[in-house]
Amino acid sequence: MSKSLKTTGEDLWKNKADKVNSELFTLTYGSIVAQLVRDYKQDYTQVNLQLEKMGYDIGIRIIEEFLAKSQVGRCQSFKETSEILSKIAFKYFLNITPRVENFSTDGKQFSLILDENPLAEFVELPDDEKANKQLWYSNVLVGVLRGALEMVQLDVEVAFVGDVLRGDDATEIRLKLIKILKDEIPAGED
Amino acid sequence: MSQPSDIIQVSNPTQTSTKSALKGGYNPSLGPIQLPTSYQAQLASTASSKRNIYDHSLSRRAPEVNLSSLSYIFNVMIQYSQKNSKGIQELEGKLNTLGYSIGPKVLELITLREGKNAKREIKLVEILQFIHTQVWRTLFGRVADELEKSSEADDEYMITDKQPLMSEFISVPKDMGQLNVNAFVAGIIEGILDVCYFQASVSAHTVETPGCPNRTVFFIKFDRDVIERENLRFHK
Amino acid sequence: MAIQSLYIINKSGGLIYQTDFPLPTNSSTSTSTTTTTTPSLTRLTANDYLVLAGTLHGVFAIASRLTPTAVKLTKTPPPSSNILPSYNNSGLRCIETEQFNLYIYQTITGLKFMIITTPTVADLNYATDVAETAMKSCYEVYSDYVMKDPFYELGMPIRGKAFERRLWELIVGK
Repeated sequence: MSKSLKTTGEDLWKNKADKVNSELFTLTYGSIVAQLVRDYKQDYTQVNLQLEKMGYDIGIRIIEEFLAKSQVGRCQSFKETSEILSKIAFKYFLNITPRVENFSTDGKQFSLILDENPLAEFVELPDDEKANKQLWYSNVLVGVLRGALEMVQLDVEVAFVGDVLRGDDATEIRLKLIKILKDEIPAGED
Repeated sequence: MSQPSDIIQVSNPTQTSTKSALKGGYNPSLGPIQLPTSYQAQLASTASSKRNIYDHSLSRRAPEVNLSSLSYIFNVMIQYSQKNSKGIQELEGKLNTLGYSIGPKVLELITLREGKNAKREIKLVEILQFIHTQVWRTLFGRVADELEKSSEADDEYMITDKQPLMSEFISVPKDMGQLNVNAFVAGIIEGILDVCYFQASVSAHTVETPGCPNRTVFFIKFDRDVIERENLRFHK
Repeated sequence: MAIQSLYIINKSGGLIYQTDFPLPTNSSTSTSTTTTTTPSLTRLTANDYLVLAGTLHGVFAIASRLTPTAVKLTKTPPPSSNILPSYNNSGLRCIETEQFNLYIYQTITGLKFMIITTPTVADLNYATDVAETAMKSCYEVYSDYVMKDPFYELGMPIRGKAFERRLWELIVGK
C-alpha cells in the first residue's frame, strides 16, 4: 500500500502541481516571520502563536485543494492519515516526504521528521539566545496540519518538538489524535 | 555589540567551549571569517550529526515547491497586512515593504548563480533589462512581457506582466478598488534597484486588457539624482 | 446531457454560489461571446435560490436517515484507488424528471456541489458518473480560485470574478 501512496504522491506532484521557485517561497515566508518578530517585539511565544493561527487559516482552505486534486478518500485509520500526509500531502505541496516515526502503541500519536524544510532553507535564527530556545520558526506548519485535519473531522494536537534551526538533531512535528469529530461528519456519508 | 567578543574568540578558539559563540562564515563588518583549521576540525567532529547551513551549496539550482503553497503564504501575508492597515494605500505600502526586504537577497542569489557571468549593471536600461529578464525568470519561471520607457518623463519606466504569478487566484473586491497585491513584487524590484544604487519608487497597477484581467504594470520612477548621474556618465 | 445550473452549498446548508449556464448551441460554430447571456432556465429570486438550497440540504439529511443500511452504497475504495468518491453514500444523489436531472456531490469537508442538467436518455448510473466528474472539476476550480483568494471569507457567498471566469471556461468552454 505504501508504495502506491508514494507513487500517487509523485504523480500528483508531477502532473497536478504548478511549480514555483522554492526560494521565492522561502523568502516570502521569511519576510512574514521577520515582520512578526518586529511587530511583537521579539516576543517569540506570541510569534509562534501568530504563525500557528496563520497556518490554521491556511489549513482549513488548503484541505479542499488537497481533496479535490489528490483523489484521496477518507482515512480508515490514523496510521493511514500519517502516510497520506507524508507521501501525498507534503509531496504535493512542498515536494518533500517527511519520515513517519515514533508511532505510539495506541496508534494515536506519531512524528513527522523533516529532513528538508523549504520554509527554513538557509535560515538562521536571530542571534539573541532567546530565539534559539523559544521560536518555532516553521510553526505555520503546525497550524496548517491542525486546520486541515479538523476539516476532515479529526481533532488533532500538533506541535514542533525539535528543529534543526535551534540546534536539535532533527526537525520533528508531533501529532496527537484527540478525537474523531463524529458529529461533524456530514450526513449521507455513513 | 557582540563583535568584540567574536574577535577575541576567533583569535583564541581553544578558550571557547560554547559552540554558538564562535561562528565562521561572513560577518558584514569584518568580512569573511576563516576559522583556524584546528577549530574547524573540532567543529566538524562535534557538529557532524547536525546540519549546518554553511555546508549546503548555494549555487545548486533552486528546488521547486507548489505554487499553491506560495499563494497560501502570500495570502496570509496580505491578510495580516490588511488587518493592520487603515486603507488600500497603507496595505500596498506594507506589502511593498515586505517585498523590499527580500529584494537584495534575490539579487544576491541570482548573481551568485550566474557565477563568472555575473556583472554589476551600471546602466539604467541594463539594470531594467536584468530585472525584466533574469529576475523574472528566477522568481516566476518566465521573463516579463514588456519593458517600456515613458513617453512623458525621462525618469519613468514600466515593466508589464500580463499574468502575474502571485495574484493568479486572487479577485480583488470592488470596494478595494485600485488595490494591486503585486505591490509585494514592486517592493522586490524596488529593493533590487536600491542596492544597485538606482534609487526608485516602484508601484503596481492593474491595467486590464481583454483576456488578461490581472495584467499588471510595474511603474518605476527613478530618483532625480539617478537620472542626472546617468546623463552625466553616458549621455554627455 | 448539458449542465444548466450549478449550486454550491456550504456545510451548514447555506447557498454560497449559484449560476446558470447557457445551453450549447448545437451548431458549435458560434464563436460570438454574446450568445452566452441566454440562460436556459427561468431565473428565480435570490431568496428562492436560498430556500431551494436549504430545502435540498434538509432533504439530503433526511434521505440519509431513511436509507436502509442494506442499500447504502459502500463506495469507500482503498486509498490506492483513483476515484475520489462523492462521500454521499446514503444521501440524495440524483433526482430524475422529464424536464431536468439534478445531481448532488458531497465532499469530505461537507461541501455540496449540485448541478441541474438537461434530462438524459443514458443509463442513470452512467449519467451520475458523468455528472460527478463534472462536479469534481468544479470542486477543483473552487479549491483554486476561491480557497486561494485572500479576500474570500470562508462560508460566505462567492463573488470573485476569477472563479466565475474559470468556471465558465470549464462548463461553457469560453
